[in-house]
Amino acid sequence: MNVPYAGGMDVRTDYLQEIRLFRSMAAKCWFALLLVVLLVIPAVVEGYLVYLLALAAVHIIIAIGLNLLIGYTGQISLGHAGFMAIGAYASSLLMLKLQFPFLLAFPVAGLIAGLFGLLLGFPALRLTGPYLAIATLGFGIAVAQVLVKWDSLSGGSIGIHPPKPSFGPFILSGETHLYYLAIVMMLFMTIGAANLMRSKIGRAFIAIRDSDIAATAMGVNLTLYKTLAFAVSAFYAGIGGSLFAHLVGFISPESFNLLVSIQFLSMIVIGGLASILGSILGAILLTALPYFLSGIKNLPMVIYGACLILVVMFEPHGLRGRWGKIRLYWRLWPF
Amino acid sequence: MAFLQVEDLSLQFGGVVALKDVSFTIRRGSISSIIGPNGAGKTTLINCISRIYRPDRGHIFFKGADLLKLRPDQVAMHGIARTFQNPELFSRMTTLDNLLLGRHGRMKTSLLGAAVFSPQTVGEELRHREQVERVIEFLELQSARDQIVANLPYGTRKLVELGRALAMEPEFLLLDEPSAGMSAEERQDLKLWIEDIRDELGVTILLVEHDMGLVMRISETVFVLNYGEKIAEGPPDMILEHPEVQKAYLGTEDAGAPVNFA
Repeated sequence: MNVPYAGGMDVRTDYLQEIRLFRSMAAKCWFALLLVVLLVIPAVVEGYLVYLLALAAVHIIIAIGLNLLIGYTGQISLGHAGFMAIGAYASSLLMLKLQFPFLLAFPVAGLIAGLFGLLLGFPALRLTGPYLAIATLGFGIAVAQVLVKWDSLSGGSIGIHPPKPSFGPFILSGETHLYYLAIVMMLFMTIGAANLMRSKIGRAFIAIRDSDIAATAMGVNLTLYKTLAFAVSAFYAGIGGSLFAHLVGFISPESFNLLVSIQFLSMIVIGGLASILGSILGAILLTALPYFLSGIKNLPMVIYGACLILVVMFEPHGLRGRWGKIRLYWRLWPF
Repeated sequence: MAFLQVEDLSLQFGGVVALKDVSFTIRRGSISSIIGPNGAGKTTLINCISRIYRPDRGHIFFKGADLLKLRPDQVAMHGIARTFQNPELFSRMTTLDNLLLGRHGRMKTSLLGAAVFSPQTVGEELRHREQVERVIEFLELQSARDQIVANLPYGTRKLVELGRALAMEPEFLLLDEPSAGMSAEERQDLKLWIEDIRDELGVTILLVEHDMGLVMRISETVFVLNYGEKIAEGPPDMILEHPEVQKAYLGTEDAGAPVNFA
């Protein structure tokens, strides 16, 4: 008589298997290997590469946040440098002017950026497509202008030097410390986003993108979820901006110009829209590319642009799509 | 108190009268149909009930609640589910995920709980997945379960949409041309499912349908719309004999022979 019971148990483990972040032993092993590699990297590569990897980790956080908004929820933003700036300045100024400890200033900076995201989400409710693009563009430009004009607070266009982050008496200085901070935050934020996207909230985001009329008929509150998408995305940009400020050690309004917003958009389009792995690959590529191209005189931006065009032309699903094809190839090899 | 009560509903789009003083009531546990020629206002009426449209005048009460004071998502939370004339699916999700959207309103996960995927969140996911699995079994959608819905044939997509509505465990189900684009075999199955949904799940059903055979076999009450006005209401056999209905469908006053609807 315990057959139906056993059957029921089977079904339950199946479901649990389906909602796991790592569905196979192999995936767990690869992730463990990745952690080990990330841990030993500072010991084996030179200082500038460590700094570059830390910068890539910061870019990954912001790219994932932007992909939550654009790729998953279907809302465009051309003003993410604005949220990044708010995070960067909030975190720096809270520490410099109000003597906040880093551990407090850092999350608060993210929340302040998230709050601005929430506020920008409201006009976004009535705007779609190109109109939303222009509105968010305006936001990004306005933030930079306010930072230039309000020099008593922000230091104006001369910029400021954010203090080194510290945990109590332990001050994070040098690339290696900041690298570990950036990598740990990147891992937390990545797993957080992956969790969000396999939950009710992530499904509602995708539903809004695919059919907002059907989403609302399912009981999804469009106002709530669209503004939530903006807030979460801005929170990611704010956290990334704060890390960016403390990592680079100098920020000015110029660090957050329109080109920066476009750069993040490029990362997720090239990496793959609506894909966390794609955000990561795109962020790494576009962080590394300028560095490796800088040796070529006068041409780096031309080659950079050409790379963007080639990827979009031949890999419409981005690096994420290419990765899927390579995996399939090896799985089916030698057939 | 009527289950659904529609009073003097009127709606104009520019100069076009989409609905004019439409009134009717629906009894709990019944299957009713709205028929009428193209452009008669059938879908408009469904869209007013699910609050995608705001009518110019009139009232809609569902179990005493004034639906015109609610947003579409609040209507859904009151237990009213619907399907669309052309399936409005979440096309890049799997069938399973589409159906899970039907559970959206019943899931309580917070932003933080979702981000850390707390044990409560896991437990809730598992419970609702089991519920969705029952719907998949009920509609025999097992083979489509893990497929991206954009890749499914049209008839299956319509079924997925029906499943998504059922996953909401609604009290009242609005079906906008459920049989459109289905094969004869699928239509036969659809009729049985609609009856099962009412008999086994206790759901009250209102459908807009062009397939007269299906309408006549399945409905207790038929409402006929023409140019936005309700011209007839009654049991199927009475509707077939109704002179106004025949006129609306044939478009002439001296229709010689009765139309063979079935």
